[in-house]
Amino acid sequence: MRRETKKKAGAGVLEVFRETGRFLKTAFGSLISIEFATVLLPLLALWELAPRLGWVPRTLVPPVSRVALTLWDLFAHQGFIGHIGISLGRFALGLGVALATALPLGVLMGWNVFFRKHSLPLFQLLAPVPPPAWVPITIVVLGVGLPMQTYLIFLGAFYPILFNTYQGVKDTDPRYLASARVFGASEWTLVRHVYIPHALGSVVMGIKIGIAMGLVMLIIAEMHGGRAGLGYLLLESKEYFQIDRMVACMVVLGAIGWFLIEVMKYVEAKLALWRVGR
Amino acid sequence: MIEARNITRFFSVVNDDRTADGVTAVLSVSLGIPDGKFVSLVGPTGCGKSTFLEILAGLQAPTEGDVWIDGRRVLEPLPASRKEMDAYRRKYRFLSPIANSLFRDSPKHDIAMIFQDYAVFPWMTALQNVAFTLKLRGVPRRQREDLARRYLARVGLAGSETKYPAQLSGGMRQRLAIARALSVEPKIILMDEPFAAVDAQTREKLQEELMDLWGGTGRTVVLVTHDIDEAVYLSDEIVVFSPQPGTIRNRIPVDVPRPRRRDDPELSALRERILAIYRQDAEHLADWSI
Repeated sequence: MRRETKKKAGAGVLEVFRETGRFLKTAFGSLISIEFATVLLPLLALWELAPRLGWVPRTLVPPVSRVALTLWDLFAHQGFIGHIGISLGRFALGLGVALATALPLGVLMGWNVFFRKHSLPLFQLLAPVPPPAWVPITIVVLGVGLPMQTYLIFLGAFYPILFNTYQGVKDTDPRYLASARVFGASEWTLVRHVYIPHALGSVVMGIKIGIAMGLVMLIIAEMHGGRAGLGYLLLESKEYFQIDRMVACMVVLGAIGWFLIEVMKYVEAKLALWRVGR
Repeated sequence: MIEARNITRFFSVVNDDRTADGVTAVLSVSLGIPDGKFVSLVGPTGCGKSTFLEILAGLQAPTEGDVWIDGRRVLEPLPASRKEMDAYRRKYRFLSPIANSLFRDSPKHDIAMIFQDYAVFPWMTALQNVAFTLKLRGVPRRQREDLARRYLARVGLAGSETKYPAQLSGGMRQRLAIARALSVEPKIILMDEPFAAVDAQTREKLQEELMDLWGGTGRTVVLVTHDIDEAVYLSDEIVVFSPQPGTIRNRIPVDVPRPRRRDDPELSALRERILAIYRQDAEHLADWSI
């Protein structure tokens, strides 16, 4: 009996490893290809050679090898992991709050005309305010700290997720609704089994845009106060004129954004298996 | 027993030159369909027969008149005056009039419907599609899968249970829609041009299968079609609609015993008769249309 459960757990772990492998393969597959290498390698070579041969001033543009060494130094001796972890924590908090509010609101607005008419104009009025414009008032009201950072990241991610969810749910094909209704589906069942699966593509699209906007707001928030995080590190490097460190931070930020988008792609492919056959 | 009393459906439309206009899709149609009958509604395209079927199913409210199924009204007609309209809007503020209920899965009437373009859910496998309708009818979770498999096998889809509709051919998708409709064992099946989108051979085969599945179950079937051959081959009675606005032009009983042969001379005579009605309507359109 015990051995059996152990075996099952073993199979489960194996399956997780296999899935992770599959994910990494599809994620890195587009990066590691001969076609892309023919573009990437010359660019890297140019980046390395241009400062070294004096085509651009070396004090302003650090060669790629220098950036790589700085990156290594940051990771090994300067607690870079900690900064990244703090930034990611803040980002996850802000994005989590945005998801938890925007998804239900979007579904509600797409599903119900009464609710839509009462709430949509408000969001349409508020959404065009560029999220960075909220920074001063947020600092005044919430002070400098986690609430302010969370709020700013939330603000960046909220509207894209909300509007894409709303649009996807609203555009649900009425034929599917009619056929479910004839068989007796309640509105709650319609939301769970018809509206949401139908809107899935645009919801994931919204989350992708939300991730990009959230990262923008993360850096802006961290640049305005705080003693840790990637944005803080960037600003600090500017004060000390450490261009290689700035570039290293930018490289890491790019990698984080790319990775999160790949995760979303993977989630979409897993949830919308039915699209694959098309 | 389905009883439609004086069903009229009027749509407001906007012309190309931005003037307001109205279209009467269905005009004052009264029709009683007894239990266990196979009735076809035929007519030229755009004569409002599909609208009429949707009104029967409760997917649209009629402008006037009402439909009764076994003594219960399907939908109240749309309000006529501004004041009534405001009251109607207020009443259905949160839930649309065609919604069933907020949380409880239960159909208002024992109806199943098959749509022209199948309307099976593309995000569910064949098995999940059938199991979903079973769930809506309150079949316990444990029995759903077995039952769904049985109905899929009955329409010849055994072995395709895990396929998504996108992986099925048009004919197979229509079979899935039929399995889904049959699985809830409804008293009434409404079909909106179910075989219009498949090729001629598949269509004939599906018709035969439909006949086999329907025979002896005592179900009422209402079939909307523009294929006269299909109508005369399948039905007990044919209701011919006139071109716009849709009214009942003629009701023709088909008293040919089953099983029927497609080349039965009686059937071709009926077909000629219906075609003659069509032709006359087309020629004299201006004489009586409003």
